[in-house]
Amino acid sequence: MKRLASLIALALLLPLFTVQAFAVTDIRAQQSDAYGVSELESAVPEEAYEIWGNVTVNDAAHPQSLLQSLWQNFSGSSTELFSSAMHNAAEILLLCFLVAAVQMMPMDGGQAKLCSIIGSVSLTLICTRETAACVPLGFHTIETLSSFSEKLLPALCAAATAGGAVTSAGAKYAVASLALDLLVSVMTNLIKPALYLYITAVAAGNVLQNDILLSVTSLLKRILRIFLIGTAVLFTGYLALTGILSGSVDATAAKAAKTTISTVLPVVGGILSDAADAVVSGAGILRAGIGSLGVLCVLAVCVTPYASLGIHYLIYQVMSGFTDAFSDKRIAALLRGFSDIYAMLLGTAGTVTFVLFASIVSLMRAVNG
Amino acid sequence: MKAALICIVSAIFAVALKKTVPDIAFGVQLVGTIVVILLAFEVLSPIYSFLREAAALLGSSGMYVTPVLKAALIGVLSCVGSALCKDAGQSALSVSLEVLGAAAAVYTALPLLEMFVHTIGEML
Repeated sequence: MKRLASLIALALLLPLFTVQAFAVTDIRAQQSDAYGVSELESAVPEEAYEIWGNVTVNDAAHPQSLLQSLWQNFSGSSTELFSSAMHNAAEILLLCFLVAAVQMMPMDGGQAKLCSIIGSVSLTLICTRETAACVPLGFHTIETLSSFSEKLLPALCAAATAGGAVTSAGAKYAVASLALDLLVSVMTNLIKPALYLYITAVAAGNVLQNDILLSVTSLLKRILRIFLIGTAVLFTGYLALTGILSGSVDATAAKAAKTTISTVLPVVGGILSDAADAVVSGAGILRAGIGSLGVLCVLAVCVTPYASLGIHYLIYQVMSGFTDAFSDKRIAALLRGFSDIYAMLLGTAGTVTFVLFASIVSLMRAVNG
Repeated sequence: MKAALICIVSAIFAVALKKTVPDIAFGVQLVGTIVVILLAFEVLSPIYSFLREAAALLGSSGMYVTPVLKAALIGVLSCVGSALCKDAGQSALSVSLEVLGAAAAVYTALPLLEMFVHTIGEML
């Protein structure tokens, strides 16, 4: 009899749980639609799609397997990149040996200088060919990150706002999108031509053995470095300040709202407050998923270009140190100049990535009271 | 060793014959120089083929290496020729040969220079 009663009770209670479960699922689906999650999932960059195929916010909530496949892809491509860079380095070193040998041949001043110039032209052409191919790679990364951020940041901002960060999320989103837009347009319209100018100045300065052109390169390098460091520091400072000021406002507002609802409406207020908590926690989970997907996609976009640029930078640095020992100082300076180009490309793409990462992390950590 | 011996012998003969028969002294000097240069080519040819092979292996098909080698060879030959002309007291010929050597070196590097100017132009 008791068993029958408990079975009837269970049969009566079961629909309630089911309805609640459906309600939770419904809330999540509605939140996903409202925050533009499906748009974000369809805007996943090509680089991420090649590694993971169709990846969703729910997949990104458990990133271990995604990180593992990213690592596998990275280790496969880095071996290829390294062997290609080493191949190029061997070609350059062969030419460096040849130029050094030619410079040691007994020729009069004019002929020796001519041979040295021809050797430098050859060497510069090899380096320029490789470097000029890497510049579009760096800027393609920047453009991909920028177009992905146009979908990611609004979704993240909407989730953070629903999670209670009403003031801070909006402020952070505004500053992040403004900074990214500004950075990308400055980099495409100013830094890209400046980098090509730098390559030209390095190449021409070394071929023509002109010190004025070489001093122009060091000036350009200094200006770019100051700009990139300044941008990163300013952006981080502003983001931190916005987070501290508007975050505390949000926390206070959320706490005040909860207290008011619970106190003013004696019985229903508590239920309403709990329901609001459920919505906020749902938004929090979704925000974490969106942020995780964002971070993963940024990693997928950046990992191969950064590895390529980093490997080239290191190889050129090593080669310049190596050639310093047996060759003309100018050849070592030429290789150092080209390694600086890779460093600048890394810095340029790195600043945009840093700004995007900082924005994602900042929006993910937005205070929700 | 062989080259050094030839150089010393031809130098001794050239110095000994210079005052009495300067034409023959110059001939001895010329023959000695040619023999030594031929010996140098004998040594240089495996180095040249190694460099060509290495360049081909690296995929540059000698496009970057060959002009440098040719310019160096032209430089050495014009330098030796110019020194011989100077020894024979023909300064004008010596200078002409140097000019021709420089022009020939630039000519061999012309495709490389064209490519360089084209690359720079593309970037600017």
